[in-house]
Parts: sequence; C-alpha cells; structure tokens
Amino acid sequence: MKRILGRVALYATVIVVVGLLFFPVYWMFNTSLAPQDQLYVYPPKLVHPNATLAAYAKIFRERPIARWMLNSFAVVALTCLCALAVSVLAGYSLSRFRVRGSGSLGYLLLVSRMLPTTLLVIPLFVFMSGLKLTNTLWSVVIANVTFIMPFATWMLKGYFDSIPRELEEAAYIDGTSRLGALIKVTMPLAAPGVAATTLYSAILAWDEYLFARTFLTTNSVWTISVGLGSFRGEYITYWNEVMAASLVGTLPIIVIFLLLEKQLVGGLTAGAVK
Amino acid sequence: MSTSVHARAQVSPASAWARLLRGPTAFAYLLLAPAVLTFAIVVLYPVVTAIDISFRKVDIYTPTTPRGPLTLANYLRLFETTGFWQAVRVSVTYVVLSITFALLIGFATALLLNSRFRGRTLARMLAVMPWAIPPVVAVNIWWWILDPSFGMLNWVLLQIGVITKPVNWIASPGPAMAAISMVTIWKGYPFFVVMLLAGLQAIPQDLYDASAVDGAGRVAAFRHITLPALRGVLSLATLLSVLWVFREFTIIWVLTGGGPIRATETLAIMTYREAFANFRMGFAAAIGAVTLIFSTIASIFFIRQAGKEFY
Amino acid sequence: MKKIVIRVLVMLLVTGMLAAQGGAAPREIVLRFPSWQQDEPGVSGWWKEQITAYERTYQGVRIEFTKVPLAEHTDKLIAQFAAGQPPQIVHIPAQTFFPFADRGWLEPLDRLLDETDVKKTYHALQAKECTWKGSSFCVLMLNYGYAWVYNEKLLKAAGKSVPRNVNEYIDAVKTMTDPKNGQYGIGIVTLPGFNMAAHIAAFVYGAGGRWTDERGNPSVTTPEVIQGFKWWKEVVLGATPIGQESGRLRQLVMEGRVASYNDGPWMQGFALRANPDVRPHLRAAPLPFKATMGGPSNVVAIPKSISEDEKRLVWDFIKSSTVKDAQVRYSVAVGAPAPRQDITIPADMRKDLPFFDVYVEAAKRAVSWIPFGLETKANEFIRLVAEHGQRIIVRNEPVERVMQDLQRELEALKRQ
Repeated sequence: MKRILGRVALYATVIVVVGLLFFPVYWMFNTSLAPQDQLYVYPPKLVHPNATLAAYAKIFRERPIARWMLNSFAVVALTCLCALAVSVLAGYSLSRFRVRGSGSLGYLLLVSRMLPTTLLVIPLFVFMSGLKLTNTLWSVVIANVTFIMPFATWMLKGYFDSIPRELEEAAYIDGTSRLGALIKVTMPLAAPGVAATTLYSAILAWDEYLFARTFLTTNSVWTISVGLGSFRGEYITYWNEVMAASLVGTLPIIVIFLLLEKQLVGGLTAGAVK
Repeated sequence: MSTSVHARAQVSPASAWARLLRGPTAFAYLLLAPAVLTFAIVVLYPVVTAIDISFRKVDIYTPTTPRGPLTLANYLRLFETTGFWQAVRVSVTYVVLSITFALLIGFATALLLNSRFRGRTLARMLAVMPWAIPPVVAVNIWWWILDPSFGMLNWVLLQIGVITKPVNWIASPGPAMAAISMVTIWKGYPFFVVMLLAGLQAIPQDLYDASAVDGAGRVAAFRHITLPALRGVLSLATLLSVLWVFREFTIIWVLTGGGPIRATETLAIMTYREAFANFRMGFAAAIGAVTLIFSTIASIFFIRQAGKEFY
Repeated sequence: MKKIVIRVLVMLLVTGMLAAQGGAAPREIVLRFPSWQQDEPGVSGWWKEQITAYERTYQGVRIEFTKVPLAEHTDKLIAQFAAGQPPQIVHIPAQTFFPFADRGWLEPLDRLLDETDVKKTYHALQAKECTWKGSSFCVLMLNYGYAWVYNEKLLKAAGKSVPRNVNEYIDAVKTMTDPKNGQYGIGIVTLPGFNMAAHIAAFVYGAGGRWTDERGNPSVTTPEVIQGFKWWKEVVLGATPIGQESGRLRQLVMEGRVASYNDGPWMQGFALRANPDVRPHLRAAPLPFKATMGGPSNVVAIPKSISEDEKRLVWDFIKSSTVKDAQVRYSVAVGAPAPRQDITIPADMRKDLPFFDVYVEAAKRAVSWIPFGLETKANEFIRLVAEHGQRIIVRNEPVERVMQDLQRELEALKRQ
C-alpha cells in the first residue's frame, strides 16, 4: 500500500514539476494560436477554443521572417564548417599526442569562457569595420568561431579519447600513414561524436545575439535572433504574432533537440563526468 | 659493431630533419596549427587590442583613428563613477540569485528524474528543453508572462494572494532584477539537471544498498553518499554556470535594457552600453578588462574546489 | 523519419548558404533609407509616394526604405557611421543631428541648396537648426509645436471643459483617470528613451524652464525647471499607465482607454485611424502652458563618405521633396504646416485634417527643446533626462535633489 502511495506521489510530483518547468514553452505555443481579439483577456485562457493560424500568416507577410531564417541557416552552416574543420583536427591532436601545452587545453577553454563577450565585441567591431565586413553574415560567422571553436575542440577531444588507440596502431602496422589512419579508421568511429558536436555548435550559433545585433544593421541581413529581439520597439505588441514568430524561430532547434537529445546531452557531459 | 657505428656516423642532418617532420610530434603540431592560428587571430589579437584601447582615450575607435597616448584615465574614471560599483553590486546579486535557484531546481529535478518511472525519457526531455530555447525567444515568452496587466504570472500571484495589486516587473527596479533572474534560472537549471543526473547515475547502487543494510535513513544516505560523490560535478557545473551568467548579455539587454534606472545593469551590460550607446570605447574596454579580472579570480577559487574533476 | 528530417535540414542549410550570396539585382543602385517613419500613419504614405515617383524617373535606382524603431535609430546610425558604412539617405531626429555634423560625417549642402529655393522659402528654423559651424548640413523636414489631443466625449463625461491653465489641465486628466477600470486621463511615455524625454520637456518648457541658459550652461536647478518636473510627476503618478512607450499609449488613445496625449502633429495620423467609436470625438487644443515645446522635428542629410554619384542621386531625391507640390502633400500627410512657407493648403484637403489649425498655431509659438550648448551630446543628454525622471517617479526622490544631481551630470557632460 505504502509503495503504491509512494508511486502515486512520485508520478504526481513529476507531472507538477515538469509541467511547471515546461509551461512557458506551452504558453508560447498557446498564445501563438490565439485570435487577435482574445489576446487581452483576463483571466488568461489556458486553451483557446477558437485557435487560429492567422498570426503565422501575418508575420510572414509583414516581416522578412523567411529571410531571417535563411540568414540564420547560412550563419550556422558556415560557422559549423569553419569551426568544426579546425576543431576536429585540434581535438584529435590533443587526444592522441602528448604535445607540450595539451594539458592546458582545459585552462584555455576556461579562459575563453571567462572572456566577456561584451569586451570582445569592441575590437571585433573595429576589425569588421576595417575589413568592410560589417552588415555581412561573414562578420557574425567569424565572431561565432571565437567561442564555438574552443568548446568544440574540448567536446571532440572527449570523443576521440573514447576511441581506443589500438585501432589506429593496427592501421600503422599495416602501413597506413597517420593521416590515412585518421581518415579511414578513426573518423568513421568518431562520426556520431562529430555529429553531436556539430549540432551543439549549430545550436550555439543559432542562438547567438550579441555579435549579430552589433554587426548587422540592415533588416534584410538580420539573423532570426536579432529579428526576434526587435519586437520591443514596436508601436503595438501583438502577442500572438510575437509568439508565433518566436515559435518559428525556435522550431529548428526544437527539432534537433527532440531527435538527438540523448546524443547532445551525452556530449555535454562527455569528459566532464568520468 | 664497427658497421653500425659507421652507419650511424653517416646519418646526415637533412634526413634527421626529414624523419622528425614525418614523426608523430610534427603531425600533432600540424593538426593543431589551424586551431592555434584561428585562436590567435580571432581571440588573442582582439583581446590584446581591447586591453590596449582601455589604456587610451578613445571614443569611437575606427581603424583610421589616431591612437593617442597611453593613459590610466579610463581606469581612474571607472573607480570614481558610482555607476561602476553599482554594476558590480548588480552583477553579484544577479549571479547569486540566478545560480542559487538554478542549482536548487536543477538538483531537485535531477533527483526526481533519477528514479525509475514510465515516461521518464519524455519527462527528461521536457524538463531539459529550456536549454535549447534561444535566449531571445525565452525573453519574449517571459516578457509576455510578466506583462503587468494580462500576463500569467501576475494573474497566478493575485489568485494565490501573494500580491494584492499587479506588479510591474519590467518597470520597477526590484521586480526587474527578479524578472531577469527568472528568465536566467529557467534557461540555466537544465544544465544542472543534465550534469547532476549523469553524476547521480554514476554512483554505484551498492553504496546505497549497503547503507540501507546498515540501517541508515534516506537523508543520511543523501548526506554521506550522494553529496560527496557529486561534489566535483557540482563544482564544475556551478563554475561553468557562474561564468556564463556573469557574462550574460542577451537576456538582460532584450528584457530590460539594463533598466529601470540601471537596476539591472550588470558589468556586461554597462560595457556594451558605454561602447555602443554612449560610444566611449576606451572606457568600455576598461570595464571589460576589470570584468575579466573578476572572472579570473572567481575561476581560480572554483577550480580549487572542483579539484581534479576539472580536466 | 530522422533521415528525412536531416536531409531537409541539410537542404535548408545549403539554401541558406546560397541565399547569403544573394542580394540586389545586378547593376542596380540601392540607396538605403532606414527610418522610424517607415510605418508611421500619414507620413509613411508620403515617403512612399516620393520614392515611387523617384524610382520611376531614375530607372535602375532603388530606395530601400526600412523601419528602425526610434529608440535605437540614432545609436544604429552612429554605429553605421563608425563602421564606415552609413546609409545613403540619412534621416535623423533633429534632436540628435548635431553629433553627426560635429564629427564631420555629413556632406556640406550649401552648394546644393543653392540649386533650390530652400534658403529663400523655408521656415527660419531651416537655417538655424541645419547650420553647424557656418555650413548647412541638412534639410529640415518638419518643425512643430506640441498640442493636447483629447477625447471630447471622455472629457465631457468627467464634467470638465478644455483646460486653460496648468491647474485645470492636471485636474482634468486626473479626473478622467480610473485605473481599476483601465481608464487613464493621459498617456505619458515613461519608458526611457527619446519620447520620454520629449514628454518631460513639454512640461519643463511649459513651465518656462530651459535645459540650458543663453550661454549654453546647464540650468536645471532653476525654479521653472523644478516646477515643470513637479507638474510632470503629478500627472504621471496620477493619470497615466506607468512604464509604457509611445506606440502602446497611442494605441490606447485610439481605443478610447486613454483620454488624451501630448504630441506633435503626426498624432493626427493616428487619430484618423482610431476605433470608429472613438474617432469622431478626438480633438486638439493648445497646451495650456506658459510656453509650447516643439522645434525642429527631423532632418535629412547626406553622408560624406559615399561616392559622388550616390551623393548626387540622394540629393535629387531630397530635392524632389522641397518643391511646392511635394510640400503641400507633406503638409496634408503630417497634418501640420510644412517647412516651406509660400504654399497654401487647399480647403478641400484641409477639411479632413481636424487638428490642422491648432498645429499651425502651435508651430508658430513653439520653443525648441534642443539643449543649446549640449547639442553634440544629445544622445546622452536624452538618456540622462530620462534616467533622472525615472528616479523621481520610480524611487520617489525629491525633485530638487534629483535636479541637483542632473545639473552636476550635465556639467560633467559639457566638459567632456
């Protein structure tokens, strides 16, 4: 009997706690479906019987949401390309070879985490101006690499660590070059880890706001983050539209998260918890 | 014997070099080179430039601006302005508030999710999802929840009776701090959940079984088994979270802009505002440099705590 | 399922990358024109007419007219100039124009102005406000005076008549306020920014105060300025929803939940769009204060760093707005007298503009609230004013003490 009560209490607690924690996400979804005249109702409605997709249609009409999404996709793709290209090599090197200074990788990562981005953005702004890159997506890509590369290197090192060296050494004995071993033997095994790191980097790049806001001035070049942050200065705040736009901007991330939550979470803790 | 000596004496420097270059060390450095180069260009050089700017009187620093002489003026001004010390206070309050609650909520949720029950995977996914929500979106959602007249929070609080009239979360100094903390906590607790869950699952069940046999209660087991085992992970998670919150810009800037009356202006916000709203980049760089020093000190403190769990 | 999603994501990624290269059609010149007026009722229609006419004449030139919220507009412009990539058409609130001129970022326009009759036919403020250190750097778009736009039905229902002095004014707006039922007597912007400072200025200048004296030194500790802040405080705390910005407040006026609003002539455009049950009752009356705040509203300028060809193209666009026909249409669109003085608005166009005469008077009496002597620090000036205003209403600090602090900060600002 006590066991059943305990189970019931457990389930009840889980539902309440998780429900409360997840509520804001539900609220975004719910509000985005509210008809315009039902927005300013008191008390707030938990479910809208007259749910409508009108807000979605309106935001695509009135704002360049599609353009912003495409810009974000471009930034994410280019950032991942640049950062991963460099990080895979570095992570592998630090995993396999006792180079001088590899022990300080952790500290290097820490330094890059301590660095206030608001400080970094000042000289980066000056550089981008000098290179005439402001208001282009490349400026954001380069800036993103600054904080994504150290983290990706650290994650990838963790993944490479988990692949036994013996496999590569077997390849050496067979006469494969070091580079060959890396490509033919290690990489296929590390593929899930690389994928997880890529997706994590993608999330970080998608979410980025500070650099994008500072470097991108014209509306048409904005990433979705900047676009979604621009609703504050509006004449009128139509919450259903703001929520609809926000949901659209979150969708790719949620999709990635739902499909690959396990790997992402695993990657996060890889190397952190032995 | 003589042949081997003879052979060794005949190895030329050139081939020794060639062997070195084909050796493991060279390969390692070669692989590392792109990363180091990128880091040097994109991180180190800007940081050095920023620190340089902080020692000069520059307003808008463009590539063609003449530099001017080195001076301590920015730093002196920093310590004189009340705005700076207020920003320090605000930063500390913000970090302590956010991390404390994120940790507590994260820990509690991790403990909850550590039990076995049907739908656990789904529950974990839902509980951790706020981590994936872009900060700007989180702000938009909470901005709506915190709306003084029609937002969910005021309605709930009024119903429960915690408040008697609607709180203007964004426009009042105290509530604004609570507002930015709420968003930060909501975005920050999943990290604790993930780290602590992994840590909890790494604790062998036998330890708990043994203690139960010994007659120890659940609380005692928690104190003597769980907590010590989690100390390293907890420290690491706290350190990383503190560093993140201390530098956080997006949530505060989009939600309150640092106001009202700079009540939510942390050091990070003040740095940005001085650089890109008041256009006093030298002064802003000085603030940023001091922030960096604070972070370093905090990190050293935490690393000691984390011990060898770190790296 | 997973594979499909991944393939779709990859496709989107690639499309995004290709899209990043895309842009304007080849061999088309794009003139960027960011402005807060892009969607403002009334004036945005006029701009769009001008742009359409211009693009018809100049094939191969496109004007990209984009919206930037007023609160960030000046900051963003400064950032763009600092990065060496200013928009070709520079539209600035007159308040914050001087820092741009002072930094040498703008093209001197005297030679170009001589091609037009601007200097001869425009309001005196064109010369006064667009001249910096002896040269002209901008063209005035509008000068104005504030007026009190009110809902007559609500006023009568409260048993009040149009106020003739400040006491009646405060009394009227307070009586029309009933927060429990979501009704407020007036909309005062109290979210820090340009509009908050403007609304404060309406009261400060209304009391006869000035931000700076004739020599350009800060003068906010004078009895008049203090009185102005005290009036402002009383109205804010007693008659307006706190923490709102202009868009929301204007919307509430249009819905009939806020009974009045201090504003410039552009309020007319909003009033014409009010709810059908509110629109017939909206009127305008002069501000019942000692002085009417106003002055130059916004100006257009050309950046110095763009190419000579682009400068020419931008100038032709600006020029097209100075001719009589354009000025008449502008006046009708904005609901106020245009800067050009030698035009008359036909009666049939004026009849649709109920507030027009009030705003003509207001513009005549207006005193500019740009702080003489601190023009080049306008951005920060506005921030300081808004911040100190907040201390008064949020932290309830005594006005005298806050003004002393503001005085000190303004003096420090002047010294920088």
